[in-house]
Amino acid sequence: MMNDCADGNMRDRLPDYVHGTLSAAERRVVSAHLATCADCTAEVEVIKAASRAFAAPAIDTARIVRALPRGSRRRFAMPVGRVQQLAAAIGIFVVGGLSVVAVRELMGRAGATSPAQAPAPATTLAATTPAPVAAPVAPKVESTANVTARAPTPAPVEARRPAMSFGGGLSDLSDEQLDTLLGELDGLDALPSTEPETHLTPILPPADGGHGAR
Amino acid sequence: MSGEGRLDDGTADLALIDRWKAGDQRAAAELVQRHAQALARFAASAGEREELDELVQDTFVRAFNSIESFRADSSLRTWLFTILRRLILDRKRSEKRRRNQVELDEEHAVQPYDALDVMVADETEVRVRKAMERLSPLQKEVFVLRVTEGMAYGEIAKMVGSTEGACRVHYHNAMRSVKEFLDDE
Repeated sequence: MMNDCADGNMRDRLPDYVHGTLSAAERRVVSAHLATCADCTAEVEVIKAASRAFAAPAIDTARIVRALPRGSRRRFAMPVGRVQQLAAAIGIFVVGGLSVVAVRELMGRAGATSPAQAPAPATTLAATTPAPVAAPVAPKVESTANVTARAPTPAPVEARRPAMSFGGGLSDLSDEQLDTLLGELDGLDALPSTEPETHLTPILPPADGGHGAR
Repeated sequence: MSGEGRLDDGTADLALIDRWKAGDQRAAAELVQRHAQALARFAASAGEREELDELVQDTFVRAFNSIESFRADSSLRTWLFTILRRLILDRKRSEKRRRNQVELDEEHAVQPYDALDVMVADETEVRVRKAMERLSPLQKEVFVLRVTEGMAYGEIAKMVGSTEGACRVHYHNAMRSVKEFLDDE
């Protein structure tokens, strides 16, 4: 006469015990219980007989595999959503790249024109420096006059200068570019100053050599 | 109850599915090798004796064609068994219509014991099988899945559309009925 063991949790584990899916610790617990419980031992025999009752018939697995769809088809079949995402990514990359090129081009042009205004303080400094101006030396006066004479015809800066790149210093310029830049600076010295022109007026010695003034 | 072994099996199945999706047809062959016999055994226990190969093949073809719908919230084996179970039910319904028989409630239809079945060799197995034929289809399904496949109650519940607790009750009632039958003989 087969009875049911009172330990329902233990009975629930018996099929897993037979199939060997218990952990080592659980298996030891069940084995210890089976050593003392005739009801569970009899139930284990029923489970073993039942699991053998329907023997697995022979199946032609190769034929089944041949009938299956090929997974490689799916590898190249990209969903429509993915295609749209990819196209959007490419579009953003192209537009972004063109924008960077356009911005650099515009900034290059702006950089080429700005130096014409940047050296202005140097011009003012040169014009207001008193020492050389006050020197009563005629050749200097002529030199100043020559400079003033050249003022109405400033050098065509944009035409002669290449566009400057970002991040470059004077050390990055070639000799030719450096000469060009120095030439521009020379030309900018003659730009009209905002300071009173009187500061630049030389003090010439009197015609009598200055003796009458004393 | 431990699910460690089944967890490992489930992980291996998922890895094989990924390999098959990447174009490795050997992964599909391995998946078939892992589950075909169990599916055939379940089909046989459900009374299917003809064209078992076709039944198992249809199960795999349907599964692989809709593998994207497999969410892995249950094991691949449970999913395959669910597909097979539906195919078996469809087949039984078709047979009944063909024979122009009265549609029986599948929950209470009892499979007749086939005395000529040659798959059972042992006397104890013959008696156990005879006892199992007396169970209701649902009791038998739960009992077979639990004792022959070692499925957890939760997996069985998903497969037959019931609850874990109800499946546990079905199993213990079935076991009691089988033992009573063996005692009486």
